[in-house]
Amino acid sequence: MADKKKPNSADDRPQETDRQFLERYSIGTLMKDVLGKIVSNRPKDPITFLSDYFDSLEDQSNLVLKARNIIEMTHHSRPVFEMNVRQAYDIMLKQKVGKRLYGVNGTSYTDLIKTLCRDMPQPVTTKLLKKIECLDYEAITFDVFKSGVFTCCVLQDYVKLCEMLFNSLDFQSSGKVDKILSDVVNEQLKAALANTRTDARNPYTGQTDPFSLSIVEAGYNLGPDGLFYALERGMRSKSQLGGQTLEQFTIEICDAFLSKVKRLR
Amino acid sequence: MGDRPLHCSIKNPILLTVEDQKNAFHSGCKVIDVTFPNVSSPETQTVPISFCERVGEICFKNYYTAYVSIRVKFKAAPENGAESGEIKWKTCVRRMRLMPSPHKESGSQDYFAISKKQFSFDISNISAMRIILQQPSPVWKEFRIEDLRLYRSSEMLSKPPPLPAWLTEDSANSTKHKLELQTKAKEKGIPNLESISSSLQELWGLSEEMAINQSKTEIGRYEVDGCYEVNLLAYT
Repeated sequence: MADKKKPNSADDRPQETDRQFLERYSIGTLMKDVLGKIVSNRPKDPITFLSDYFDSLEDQSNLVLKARNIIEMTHHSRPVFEMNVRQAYDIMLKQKVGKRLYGVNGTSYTDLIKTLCRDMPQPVTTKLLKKIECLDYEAITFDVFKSGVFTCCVLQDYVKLCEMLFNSLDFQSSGKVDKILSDVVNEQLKAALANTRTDARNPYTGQTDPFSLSIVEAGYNLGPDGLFYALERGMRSKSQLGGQTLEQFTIEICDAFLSKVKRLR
Repeated sequence: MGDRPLHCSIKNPILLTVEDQKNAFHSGCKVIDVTFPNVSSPETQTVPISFCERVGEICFKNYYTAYVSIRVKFKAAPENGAESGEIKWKTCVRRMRLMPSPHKESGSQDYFAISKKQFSFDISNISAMRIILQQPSPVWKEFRIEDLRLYRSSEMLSKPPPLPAWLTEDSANSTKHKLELQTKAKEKGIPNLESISSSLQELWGLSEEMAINQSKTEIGRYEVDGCYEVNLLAYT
């Protein structure tokens, strides 16, 4: 009996109810958070999602990493993505910028972009930053933040797709792609992207540019027919331009993507 | 040439009335005067006159007009180089019926295009045109024509551009065509044309998606010619 009254004794611990134990480490809130995130993000692989989430809990001190983890929780095509971006922005708003000044400035924005693009070849990241970077002292509004983050996430998908394309073009599985083929493919893609302009309808006259036929034409050029003729033309030329590695190939194909990224004014 | 309307100045319709001190009644007849840009010709050195070479088609939207007549004034043929000759008004379109029954709605707000075939004679070298609107029915408070346009000729002078050959190819042969293409590709050493094509199309789609979602807001920079210099900022 006397044992029970002694505080901090090892024997005391088992007397603590389960509830108190959980509360000591605020496991309850932790579980609630993670379950909430699983339900709203609906990941394809919940177990990996859970393990990544708990891993990332250690990065709590670095706001940029915390924001990045939230952004990468779900694919950019899902509606929850926008909510996650908003949450990430709110987290980064707590960053101290100056004396008693908090917010998202150019440095933290650039840091976030860089870490989102960590899996891409460095030249691609540099070119992207040239287009969407902000000066260190500038204040970043949510609109600009969202647009930049979205561009990065789409670029992540794009780079993964480039790899798939590289493997398809690598006919002999040699790890290199003929430069001729890569040039042909790049040209077709650039032509398609140049044709489809986003500002199709003139708001003053209400007339459309010759927009719809261009989309059909661009689609044809990228379809099996047009692609075959272009590749055949390319292969007929006898010049040997050597091979390209995956990284070089990715850098070139990403040029087409980056040409569509709007430069920040 | 048939696409753009002719330049002309269209005056407001004038209601013709027959008045005397006791009775004034609505005659139901309006006249629209149309004149053309002034062209000074070497013959009449005094005053530039309105002149139009040719009118092929007249288009307008009706608003409760029952009949329309068109009269044209020909360019006067000068006699002896001094005086202008007789000016004649000739009726080109005589009382064309726009509304099958003037009291009823039908045809009251239709679009009409009067073409060369309906003219009594070819309109060429005219100096003015009068369009006479008639509405005998007392039911309608107001009648007029809207959006009046004159065109030089009623035929389209240019054919629409021909469609590219691949757009008009027969879709019935598509599966056979696909197989043919695949074998051709394999012969050339391209084993998986379809997967290359679909990857490219996905890349295209991703780029377009990204381009559409670009932010339109400005970041609020105050740069002048690419450099930020406080002294260069305007006070406005």
